[in-house]
Amino acid sequence: MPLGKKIEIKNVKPVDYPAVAEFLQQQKASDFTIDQWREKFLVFWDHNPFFREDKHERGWLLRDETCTVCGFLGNIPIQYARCGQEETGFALTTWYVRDDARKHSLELYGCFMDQTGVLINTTPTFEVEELLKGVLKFLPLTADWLKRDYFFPVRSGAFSRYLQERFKLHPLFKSINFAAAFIAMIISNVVARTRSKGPSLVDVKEVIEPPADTQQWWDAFKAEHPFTIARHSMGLRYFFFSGEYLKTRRVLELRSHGELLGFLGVRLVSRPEYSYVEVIDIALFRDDASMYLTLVDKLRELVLRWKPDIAFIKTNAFSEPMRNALNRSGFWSVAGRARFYYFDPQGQIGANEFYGTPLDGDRVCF
Amino acid sequence: MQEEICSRVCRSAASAWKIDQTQINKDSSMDTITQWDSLGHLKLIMTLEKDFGLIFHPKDTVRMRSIEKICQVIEAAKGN
Repeated sequence: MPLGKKIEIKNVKPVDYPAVAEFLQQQKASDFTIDQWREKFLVFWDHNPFFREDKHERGWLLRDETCTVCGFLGNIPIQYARCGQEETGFALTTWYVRDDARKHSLELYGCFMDQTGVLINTTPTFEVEELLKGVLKFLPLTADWLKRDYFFPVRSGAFSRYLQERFKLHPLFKSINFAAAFIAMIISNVVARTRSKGPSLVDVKEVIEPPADTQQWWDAFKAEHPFTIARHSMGLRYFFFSGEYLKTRRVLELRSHGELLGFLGVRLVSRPEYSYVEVIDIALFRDDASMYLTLVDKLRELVLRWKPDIAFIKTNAFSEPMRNALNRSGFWSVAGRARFYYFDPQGQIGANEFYGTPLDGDRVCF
Repeated sequence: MQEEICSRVCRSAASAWKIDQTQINKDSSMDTITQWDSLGHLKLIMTLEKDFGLIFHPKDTVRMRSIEKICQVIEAAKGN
């Protein structure tokens, strides 16, 4: 499909993986090496149970007259449930275009927009965000959980390195920052240990595969939410128990009198200077503070025995009772940075009908 | 009809990009106008929607890469 004299656009095929990986590495799309990008492509598509070769595209690329890749936009098919019926949605990932081909970047987006399912973009740059809102009519998810990020410091040294990076603190403030992180950690632990512990009304335990009653739970959960990402056994396996994620993701299940109430999913994020555990999904039937208090305690226990150098736990407050539980458990909060945009070609899903979590979009793939 | 629309589109584009209208004609496209990059496209679409009182379908907006194509989309929208 020629666009002009020099640039052409084509669908991405497995044969293009090496050239796309090389392009993304050159563009410094992340710190990934070429091999790491190729592994990522396997996660996006080849190992993705929702990707259908005959129905979906992996993404689109731009090639110049020397057949060199000069632009790429990735497309990750994910299953959603709309009013109880499963359908495919698409998460945009890794939209990069070489400077001299910039004028063709919208053509890549045009291919993405041509798909019939709900489209998700959770990683727009400022400029793209303006395009999404102003031209492409994407809606922002307005859920309260996006507004604040919550932290529980586990190790003060590593936590101070995170603070230094997140708030871009001047190195001169290193000592003050370390002291602040240390004090924050002490306060958090004192609050967590001294808060009153009522009787636990739920059983929380780690699971290493979807429980046998997952489908029954999922049928009931999707009936309660007009639009949400699929959390049936296949979905849970892909997001949490597949080979790629086995070492970096954990799932806690909650039960009350044996009945499955839902799941909390976390991932281990490793950075050169520190690592942390992030809550990436929560899907529960009941919603009361006592349940979340038990859940938070179990999460802290999980983190402490997982890896010795975890700096902190990061989460969002996905409901008011959860916010209450986090505040009572020694979590600190700062303004949230997550962005979440979606476009529904059918135009039916209101922002308050979309049960979204950090599991949506491409951010958790990285 | 199309000439009148084309003239108004050129006027809107000049206003969006703050350039002289003589630099724009029906043969202009993203390939020929420096200011018409993705940010320029955003400004243009928003100006056109305001000036013509239309809301473009997102699938159309990513394909409105030339003045001629824009005129066709607007003419079709006005016809409807």
